Amino acid sequence: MTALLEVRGVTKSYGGVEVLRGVDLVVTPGEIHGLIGANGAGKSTLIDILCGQNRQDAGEIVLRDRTLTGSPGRRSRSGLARTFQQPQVSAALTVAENISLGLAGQELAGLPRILGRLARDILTPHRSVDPRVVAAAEAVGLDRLDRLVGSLSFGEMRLVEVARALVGSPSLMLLDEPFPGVGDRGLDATLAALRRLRAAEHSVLLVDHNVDVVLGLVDRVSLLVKGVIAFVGTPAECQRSEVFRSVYLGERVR
Amino acid sequence: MIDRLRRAAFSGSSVALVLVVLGLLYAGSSAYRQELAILALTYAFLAVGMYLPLALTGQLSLAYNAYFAIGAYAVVIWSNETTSASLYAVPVAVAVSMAAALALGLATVRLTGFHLAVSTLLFGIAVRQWILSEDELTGGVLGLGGVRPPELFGWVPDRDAMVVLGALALWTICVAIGRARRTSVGVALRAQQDAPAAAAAAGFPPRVSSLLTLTVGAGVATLGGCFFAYLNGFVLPDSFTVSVAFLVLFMPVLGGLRTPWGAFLGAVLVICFTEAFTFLKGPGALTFGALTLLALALAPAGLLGLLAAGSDRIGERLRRRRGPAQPADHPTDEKKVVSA
Ligand SMILES: Nc1ncnc2c1ncn2[C@@H]1O[C@H](COP(=O)(O)OP(=O)(O)O)[C@@H](O)[C@H]1O
Ligand SMILES: [Mg+2]
Repeated sequence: MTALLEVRGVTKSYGGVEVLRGVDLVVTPGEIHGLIGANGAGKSTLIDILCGQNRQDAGEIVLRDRTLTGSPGRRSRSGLARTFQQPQVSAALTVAENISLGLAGQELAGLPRILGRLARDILTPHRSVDPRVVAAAEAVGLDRLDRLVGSLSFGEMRLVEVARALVGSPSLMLLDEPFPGVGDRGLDATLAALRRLRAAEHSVLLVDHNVDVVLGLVDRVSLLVKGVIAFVGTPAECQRSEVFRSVYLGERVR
Repeated sequence: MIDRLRRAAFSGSSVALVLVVLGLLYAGSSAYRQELAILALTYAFLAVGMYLPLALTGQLSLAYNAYFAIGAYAVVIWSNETTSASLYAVPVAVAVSMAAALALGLATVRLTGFHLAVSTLLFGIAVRQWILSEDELTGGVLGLGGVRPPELFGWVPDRDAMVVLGALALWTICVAIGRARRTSVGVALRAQQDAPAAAAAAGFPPRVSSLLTLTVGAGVATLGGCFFAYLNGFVLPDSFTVSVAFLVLFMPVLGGLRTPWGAFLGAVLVICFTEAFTFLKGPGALTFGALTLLALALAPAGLLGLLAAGSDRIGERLRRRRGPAQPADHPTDEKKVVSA
């Protein structure tokens, strides 16, 4: 089984506090991989590092046998897409425009191409929404794409983010706690969309607090404790694991 | 159908067209009024230039008196110091301004708020100081004349033709900006303000977006300077004080930041209140200040925003009269992407 993503010994500290202390993680093609851990364990930090929004102190990230470096834009073009724990959507843009940002990430690279595309779109403006955007919105159960995102509920903003990550059909999608606030319909739609991604041999790294949802969806799960991955296994193995049960139950009690 | 007509009638471009026609009627054959109309068009270039960074990426640059001056002085200096066609001064001026804006942006630590406002303000002051001190080249306080009229493929347009050409150029720029806002690049630029990390993931890190709009905005404003110099035939340093930048700042805000036409409308209004309405002469600036505050309180989306909202309300009423069979579409925002 070849790895799609391989995280090797990633460390990160903030002002002397070591948040990540050598994280190793493997995501295989067509896998939904759960990443769970207590609040402040460093899950969002890890995703930021994977996407280039933050830089690791040490360690290596390998995507399809190539070391992943460079700007967030470059990493989008290598097939990464993400959502943010605190939704990063533009209130002044419509739903469709926000979602289409996920395509821009893949299609706009280099000044010549950007200028060429801009000139073409100015000379021949297209008035209809890109069908891929419509499909991505449908996939998460969003309609009325001409609404301004500023008028949406928090949960709907989350769905816009998921759709924006979905729209470019990324080979690895990183979801940072996408479920709180989205409601039952949004949850079902998102889960279905993730399963379809998996069926198309794309992978997902899913961070969430709701361990029941995570275990019901993922193929494997990694447990981040005190800056290292303390346990990796299938949901069935989780139930039997001493480490997992102690941490998971400990967290539940707290 | 009716909806589309209504939206077209209330759109920024129709308002601009009405303003141009009114401006021409107003100017008539009075030399003074013509000058005001030319000034309004000049300021409209500056306002649209300021609109770009202000509305798209949220940058407040105050160097607009400098870009204005670069355009005007480039034309007059080119006319005096070279023998090549006067029109070549335009691309040179635009290139100089854009290079200056880019350099200024690169040298500024943070391209937001205080940092940018201070560095651009200083640049505006510095350019004016330079004009005053380099009197060999610029004529210093006395200004400089001798602008050679532009020549287009052997044709030398007269004053009226130049005004029409200037208006057409601005028109084209506004249409292009209005369309650019909705392209994928425009969307990525606009996302920068409240979703910088998402914009960065889309390949547009905030700094790049800001530099882009600041630079292009400077270029557009410079065209206003060229236009101004061609029509006046001479330039005076007093036209380029820092107060120009503050006056220009009101324009896009007053007109509405939703479309570049708002900047155009704002420019005309500002000239009306500060120059044309002679009955306001004494308290003109004060009245203008008070009116701006009032307008912003009543219409935070600017006058065009108010107009669009009014138009939508009319549409809503028409729809209701026609009966509820019509599926409600959502005309609340004119910059929306029409759904397939
Ligand atoms: N920019 C930062 N500066 C300092 N500390 C930070 C910063 N970002 C995150 N942290 C700290 O790093 C730890 C991990 O944060 P985070 O990755 O958000 O955790 P999680 O997503 O697992 O809840 C937390 O203790 C947080 O306080
Ligand atoms: Mg987090």
